[in-house]
Amino acid sequence: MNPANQEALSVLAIDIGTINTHALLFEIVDESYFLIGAGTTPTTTNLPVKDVLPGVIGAIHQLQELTGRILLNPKDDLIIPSQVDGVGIDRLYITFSIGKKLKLVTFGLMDDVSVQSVKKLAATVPGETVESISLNDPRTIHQQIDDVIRSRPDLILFAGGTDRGSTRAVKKMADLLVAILQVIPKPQRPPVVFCGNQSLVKPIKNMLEAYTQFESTSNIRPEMDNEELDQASEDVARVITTIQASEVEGFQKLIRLCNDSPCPTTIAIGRITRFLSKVGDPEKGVLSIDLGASATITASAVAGKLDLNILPVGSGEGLAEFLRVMPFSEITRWFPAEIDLEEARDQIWQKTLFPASIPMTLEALTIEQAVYRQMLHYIMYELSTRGVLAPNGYETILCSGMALTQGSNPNQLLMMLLDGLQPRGISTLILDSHSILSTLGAISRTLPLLPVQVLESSAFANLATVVSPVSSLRAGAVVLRGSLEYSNQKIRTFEVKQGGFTVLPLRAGDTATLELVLSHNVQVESTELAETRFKVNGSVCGVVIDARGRPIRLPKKPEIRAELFSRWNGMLAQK
Amino acid sequence: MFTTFTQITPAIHLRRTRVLPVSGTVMVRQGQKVKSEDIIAEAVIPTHHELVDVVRILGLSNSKAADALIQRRVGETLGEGDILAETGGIFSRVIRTPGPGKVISIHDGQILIQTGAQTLSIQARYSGIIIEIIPDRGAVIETSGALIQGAWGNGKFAVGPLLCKAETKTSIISPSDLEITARGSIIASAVCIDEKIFEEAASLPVAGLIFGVIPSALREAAIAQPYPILLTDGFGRTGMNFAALKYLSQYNNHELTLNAGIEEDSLSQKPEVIIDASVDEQAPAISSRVTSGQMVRIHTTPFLGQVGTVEKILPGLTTLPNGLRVSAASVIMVNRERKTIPVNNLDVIGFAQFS
Repeated sequence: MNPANQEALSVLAIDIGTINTHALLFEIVDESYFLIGAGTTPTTTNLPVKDVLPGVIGAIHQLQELTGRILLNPKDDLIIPSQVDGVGIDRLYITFSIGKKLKLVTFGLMDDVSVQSVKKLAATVPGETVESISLNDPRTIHQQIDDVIRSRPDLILFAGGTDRGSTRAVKKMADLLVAILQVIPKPQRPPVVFCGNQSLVKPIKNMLEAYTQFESTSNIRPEMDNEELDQASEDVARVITTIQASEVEGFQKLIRLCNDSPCPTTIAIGRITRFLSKVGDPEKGVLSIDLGASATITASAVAGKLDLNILPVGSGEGLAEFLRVMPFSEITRWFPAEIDLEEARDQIWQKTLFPASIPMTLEALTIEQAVYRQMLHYIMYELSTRGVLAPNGYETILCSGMALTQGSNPNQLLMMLLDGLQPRGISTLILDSHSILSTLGAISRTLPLLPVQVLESSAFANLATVVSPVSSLRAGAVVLRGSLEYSNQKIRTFEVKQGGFTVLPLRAGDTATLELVLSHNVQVESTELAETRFKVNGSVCGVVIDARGRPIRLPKKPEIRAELFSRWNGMLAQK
Repeated sequence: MFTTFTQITPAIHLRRTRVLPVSGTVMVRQGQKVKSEDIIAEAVIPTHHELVDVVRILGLSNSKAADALIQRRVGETLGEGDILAETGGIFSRVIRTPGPGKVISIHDGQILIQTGAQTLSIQARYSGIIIEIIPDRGAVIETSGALIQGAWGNGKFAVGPLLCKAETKTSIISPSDLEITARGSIIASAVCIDEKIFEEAASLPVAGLIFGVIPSALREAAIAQPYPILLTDGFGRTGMNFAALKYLSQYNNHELTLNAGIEEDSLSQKPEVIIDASVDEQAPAISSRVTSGQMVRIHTTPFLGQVGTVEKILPGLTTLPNGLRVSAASVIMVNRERKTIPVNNLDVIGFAQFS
């Protein structure tokens, strides 16, 4: 890797996704970092190219064309560091979500303590937990051995014991692990990451390292009632990078040029979300959703406490998994009446075969966005059942991934996000249209100033500030009255009725004061509103009050539903 | 700009890699001729193990005491009832093996015995010549034939004679196409819209089916069939792409290898048809970059399955009728109409040699 002591006047970040590779250039302009440009090409890890480099070079070429900057020499080698004439870059960072889907096996002691924590750790890793072993496992020892071997793990996560707790049980588990490793042929033995009792790191290492690569990280359960996943997540990410780098052609060459270890997209998004939650309202958090082709990364953080999850649903490979768990009727309820259901079903399944394909007609886009509405709904439900969602909603919801940031117009995109996310409280919806969210997370470790300054710039699109009152009032009843006082002292008063939208224009860059007076039995947050006056920032769609209730209930009859959709669209377009 | 790539070619030389997922023994040698059913490599995969805790069973104080009593060594083969450990003396206590097997390890007073294993073998699947041995894993086979990559397959595999029933790119297969003479054949048609065809094909039985498209509602039924089903273009009702139909018609009655499965861990490998035919030309290897003059297949509605030629890549981003702004190309369709298509919706048709 390149040394990090080079002054970072220009920074190139490469985000290698399953479908697309993005090249992003950041530079210092007037003493602050700004996003200068972004280039995107399809990722080339698949056949027939089967090498990550042509896609990376293609994205940099596109970036060169768009910005007029020269970053590559005639042999397509990156010019590092930058030259006096401005050619080249000073630092390179990489985030990635490519590589095979890793098979993980977890080892822990007690089901409701270390086993629970190690499963949560595994959920932050791009892979699938194929086996889980605990002290309470009802299977016989030899069944456990056979089942782990049959699962052919790529990585074993081994937790157990608080820092002054159990040693005997952990060693017993290590004995089992030794037996398993001995049976697996040497070249196929998976690395083991130990994240348990820190006083046992040395003896466990002595037991295991004769058989396989052994890594240790901080205890994910240092005390019975204290769970610490952050450091372990970062360390596991490094092990994963090593595994994937050996599998993906061309990756090693890139790593040599990087200023920090390439960072899995999941970890990078977790880092930046945690950072944002520390600088915002400590009572309310930040939710990041990156809907990728094979999986969706969600990061929920409140006052620096992060919950990172990877859900196996997405816009491409993950779409087939979504269709497996979701009845088709749950998707079609978001269709306007005139769509042919069989044609729609064909289009959706076709998307699973060609994940990068783009809907060409308005109808095709409507069908695809109906899928994403229901997918977001499913994701929020999953997070809710995992106890991850902040009770008072989120101050900021960041949406990343082409599926969530591309629409025919901002209102239509906002409607999709509101239908799917159904946010609670008062939230600002922000679009990561340039796919820079994970990149900022990767850079933040060694160049923390860059994400701070880029976040303050216009690199993200502020789509809308959304207020979501919840009540049991009948449709048409007044749920709240309020006013919006603009910076020029002009005041706009309004009345919001149950069942629809109220849109208050407020241009991006402007601020205003929003005052809300709620009707009886109406809530905006799960507790009483601490204040009735809020400072709100302008956005593309302005301040939107979504009084459709939570959850949004749709009529069963398609024609009535279509009429309702049309009415909602009309309300959202009205300013 | 890169895009996805579909191989549809006349008869050419092809290489296919056949490897075990784990280390094993390679059963072929370089230069050897192989048939599709020949075994390329085999591996013995342990499936059952027993962990015998000598310390606990004999009530010993520590593992050192156990080590002194264990009468077996690592790697030793055990027969039914063989003694593993014995205390000795007049009232000797004995531990016998739970079954025939092999001692894998002796650690901390515990003996790990492999009591069951299964043999995993990899067949050649393609007739041809072994041109490379991959030590402990398998081999690369060079075969020849016309290649048609598919968009979807039901995971099965077969070899059989091709019976092309598609007269046009929109021909719908009917029960009359499944007459008794079709038994054992791989039948190709453009569209299948009736699940009953699958059942009739199974009862005939056929060796396999190839279609351009089927409605996605038939997907589960297609997966459930015991024979391979491959779709050249995917899910819908539009028909088969012209390039695939051309070779299926041209090579009617030729022997065909239908691989409707995708090997584990082989990223983006597509299901494929290889039609046995003598090589009369070597198609030039092409890049998967989209450039002017390339033949492309469109894989998305409303032009699903249509073939055209790239006139030019449009500069910058193009706004589609639905408002999306994307990289696009101008494509001249077979009927000479000019269409603007997102680059992401194009598959370059051609050939690139990889194994």
